[in-house]
Amino acid sequence: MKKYFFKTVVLLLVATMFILQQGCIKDSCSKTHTYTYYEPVYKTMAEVRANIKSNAPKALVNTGKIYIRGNYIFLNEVDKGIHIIDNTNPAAPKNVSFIDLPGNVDIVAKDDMLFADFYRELVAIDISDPLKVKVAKFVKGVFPERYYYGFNADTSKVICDWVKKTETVHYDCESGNVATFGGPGVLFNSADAGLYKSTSGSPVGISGSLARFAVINDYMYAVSSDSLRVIDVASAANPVVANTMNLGWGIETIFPFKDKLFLGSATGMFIYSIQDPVSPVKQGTFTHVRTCDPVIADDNVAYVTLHSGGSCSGFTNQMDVLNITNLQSPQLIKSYPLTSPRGLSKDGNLLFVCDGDDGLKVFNATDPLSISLVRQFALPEANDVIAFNHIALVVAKGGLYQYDYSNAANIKLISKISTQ
Amino acid sequence: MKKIVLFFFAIVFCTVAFAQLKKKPVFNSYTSGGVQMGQSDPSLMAETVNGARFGNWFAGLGTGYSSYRYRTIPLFVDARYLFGKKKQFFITGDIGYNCNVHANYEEDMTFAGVKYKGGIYLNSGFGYLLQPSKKHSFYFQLDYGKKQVSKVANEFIWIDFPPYNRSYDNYSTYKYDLKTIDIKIGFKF
Repeated sequence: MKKYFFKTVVLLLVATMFILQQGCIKDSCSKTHTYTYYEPVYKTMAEVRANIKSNAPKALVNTGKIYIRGNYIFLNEVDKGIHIIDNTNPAAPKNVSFIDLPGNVDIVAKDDMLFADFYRELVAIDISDPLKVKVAKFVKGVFPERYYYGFNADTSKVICDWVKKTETVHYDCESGNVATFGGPGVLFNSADAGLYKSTSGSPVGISGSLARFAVINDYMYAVSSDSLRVIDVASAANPVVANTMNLGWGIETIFPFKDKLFLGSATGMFIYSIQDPVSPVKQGTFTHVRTCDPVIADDNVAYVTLHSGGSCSGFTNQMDVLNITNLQSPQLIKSYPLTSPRGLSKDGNLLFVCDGDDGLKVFNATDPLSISLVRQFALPEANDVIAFNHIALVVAKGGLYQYDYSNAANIKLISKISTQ
Repeated sequence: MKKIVLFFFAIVFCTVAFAQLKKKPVFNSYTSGGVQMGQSDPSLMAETVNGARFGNWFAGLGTGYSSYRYRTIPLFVDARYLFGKKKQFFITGDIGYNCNVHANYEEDMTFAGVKYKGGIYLNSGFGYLLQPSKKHSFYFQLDYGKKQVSKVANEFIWIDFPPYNRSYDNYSTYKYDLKTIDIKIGFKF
């Protein structure tokens, strides 16, 4: 038996060495990468301009900022246009019209004039009759940062839509990672996440917190990620850029209150005085960790929601309550942990906070040191809210929701326009 | 390749089934541990195969544990043929599925998710029983094995164009064919 044993062991070893040397044990790996890109659909500038009017209503799909004027709601459809909703009866709002406005993200109004971005241009739209809106003026080059890189500038054409496409490519595993551009459209990968993130949001002048446009008296203020533009709208039909100020980086939102502008940025909250409306002056700063942070304020207290995830860095999800009695030195009163807070609005002592997938949270904010939850409504990806005149309008992934809070003890959903 | 292997096993099982008509089955269990050597670092493995022997033929079901690059639990059918004066030699072949037990994870910073999946398990080899005539016996075995593992890595994307949304639409799928030489020492009863 020993004879066989040793022969077998030797045979095994020889066979092992033979196989090892033949490369039979080389691991192999194949890789497929499936990626999505969006291919632009172009129209001529003339076509697009001719279509900026009250057209047939369209279903809500990807809603953004919201503005209330009288009985009408103007609701941005991100990069597509503006829904006009007759809200005469908040319990039964009617989607009555749609303004086709490619490249539109932000809206704000003064009197009967709606100001909206149209890619790099600012357009003033007469909304005195919301069912028959008409363009008053285009102002070119107001938002030079609003372009899609990867595309040659062709001023005769406008991107009106994006068609989603999916492709799969094969690699061997030893090749590098995925190319960042694939095909004629734009490939999105994690590398360029957030470079041109659009915020979704709410109106100006009431209690909106995600807006990037604001109007105070005869001036419109528009923030980009790094600048503040002051636009003279004394003659609303003839807006004129009066000043452009560099603010650094990471500016996200603007909230006007009396003669102050509260700017939310990725690193903190800035307070600007507009005693000189053409040249706002920074009065105070409150710095926090890097996250996204809409802000609202009243006379003595500012509420800043910080959320992480997506294009927002950081890991902080909370609401900071600040004492702004001394504008030169805002002081943190208290932080309240939340899930993924975004837009917020305050009416009286009720504070409404959109807390991502936790939905809408309504707090009693009588005492900033002891803010307590009154009610919570489950909504998918609640994004922004305006609380005004006992009606809270909430923009969430599921659509536009309206809550009646005339009785704080019995806040109830009264209507919903669903997204498609 | 897969068709050839399946054809091979079909022949083996037909033969065993035919043999079953003539021979009285004897329960056998083969349990072994060893080392898997391949392009990556050597790893430990263990397996057990239990089944019935019909004369020179054995057929059974097996399972085990492999930690070569990715942790897997193979589930397989095994056929082996014993030969030599005392049936001290055997050749063996396995076919089955590798169940993945490698932990999935999510990148903290990118929110990208990585999930592992199992795949085909193939093995063939030969061995030597030290005391084939006895009921209990140690044995040596040398195998050439292949296990497939796939990895799907989703990328978190913030879409900075319409629909301005977060997405996990982009993903990479890696398919690994891992080949090893397995040296095993086992115990049979």
